[in-house]
Amino acid sequence: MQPSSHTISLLLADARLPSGGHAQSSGVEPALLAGMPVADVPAFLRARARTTATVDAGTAVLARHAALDCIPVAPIERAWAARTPSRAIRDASKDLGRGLLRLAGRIWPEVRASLDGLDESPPRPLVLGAIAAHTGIDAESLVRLTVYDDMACAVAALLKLEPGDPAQGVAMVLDACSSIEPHVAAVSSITSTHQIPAASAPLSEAWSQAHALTTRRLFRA
Amino acid sequence: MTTTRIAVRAGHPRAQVDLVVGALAPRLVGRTSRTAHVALTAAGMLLLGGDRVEVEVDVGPDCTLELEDVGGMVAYRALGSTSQLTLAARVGSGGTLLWRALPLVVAEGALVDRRTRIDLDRGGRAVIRETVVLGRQGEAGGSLTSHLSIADPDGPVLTEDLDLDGSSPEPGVLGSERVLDAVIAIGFRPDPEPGSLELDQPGAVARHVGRHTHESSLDRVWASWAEQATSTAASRAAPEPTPAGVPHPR
Repeated sequence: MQPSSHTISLLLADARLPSGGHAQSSGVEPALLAGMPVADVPAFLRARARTTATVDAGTAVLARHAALDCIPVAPIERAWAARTPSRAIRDASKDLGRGLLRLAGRIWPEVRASLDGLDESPPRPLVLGAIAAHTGIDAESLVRLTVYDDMACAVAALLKLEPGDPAQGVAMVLDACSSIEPHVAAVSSITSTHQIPAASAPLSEAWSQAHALTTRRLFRA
Repeated sequence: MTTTRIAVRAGHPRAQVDLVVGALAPRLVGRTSRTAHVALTAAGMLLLGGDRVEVEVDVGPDCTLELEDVGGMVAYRALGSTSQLTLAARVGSGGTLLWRALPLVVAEGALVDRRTRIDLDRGGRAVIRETVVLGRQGEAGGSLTSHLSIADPDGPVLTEDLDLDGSSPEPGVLGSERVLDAVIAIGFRPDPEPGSLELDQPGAVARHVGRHTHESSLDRVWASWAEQATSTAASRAAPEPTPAGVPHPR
């Protein structure tokens, strides 16, 4: 019997999922290393949710469509890459995508076929979208899942980098996730690559680039 | 208001350059058979609330257009009325566009919607300079939404929306800084600069985010990348056209 799509959503959002999310800080470590005050983290996360995470969410929605309608995903990957100018951020997403695809390939082998034309390390939102298509996760849940996972990674990393009150971390995740609620319906209903959100975060992109070159880091990005 | 238009086609002995004056006035500074250098000046007071400024650029195959702003632009307090800046460029096969824009200053209370679209044919290149300053001295700055979309025949190369509002700074976007200076090279891979972003498709972005424009080191990057765009473009350009349109034998 197929598990419920809600269970799959919970599974994909679970930090214990063996797909490599624990190695990512969603831009938090790069920001702190660049000198951003810890007090700015909540606002940083809201900005990240509006920019990078929403680009990913829109990409995931389209990848889900592509898998359902059996259309090629290569143009979606290209649209995502055009919206992700930092190689460090692209590489981090591909690391996550590889881990997730390795797992998905075991549990839902048909996910691989939906990503035909991409290499072994597709960007994370493309893999998430393909999994969503094959497990019955709807587009709105996929948008929330994509953003939530990024925020949860950020706060888990924050607690390792700047130990503080874990309840405050939870509040930050909820605050950042709820800040994109007004946009969830629009992002989940896009149907073509030019509609994928493209909001950029220039400082965060620069920080990630610098972070990729430093040896003083715990996280990959 | 009339669209400002700049079009360059290879010609003999000099390139054919069509200039149409709109809100901005283009002026021919120099040309050869395949290159043109055009300066852009404001034809009136810009940028007031409700202004619509449109610029169309067409660079013919194997031509190089060097376009430079003569004065920067200030978007003034707009009382709720958005000003629109629309820039559309097409770069023909083997052509090169060098667009050196001076700073756009978004004064407190200004609302600016800027759209830049550049389409490159196969082998086309572009190097553009874009500088945004939030606020005049001592101001927090107004609101800017900027949509940049650069594509080649196979698809998008750089798609970027920038939403800035001086009254609500966002950490990771511009934070408390007020200057975003950028040099964007597309269609070739320029030598990397410290901190520059290497795009997935051939191209790169160098940025300076800071308090003041004079702290930016991007003048040097601009010069270097523009030089790389044209030197490699020249080496692969087709032979000079003759009056009959028949290439000279080499």
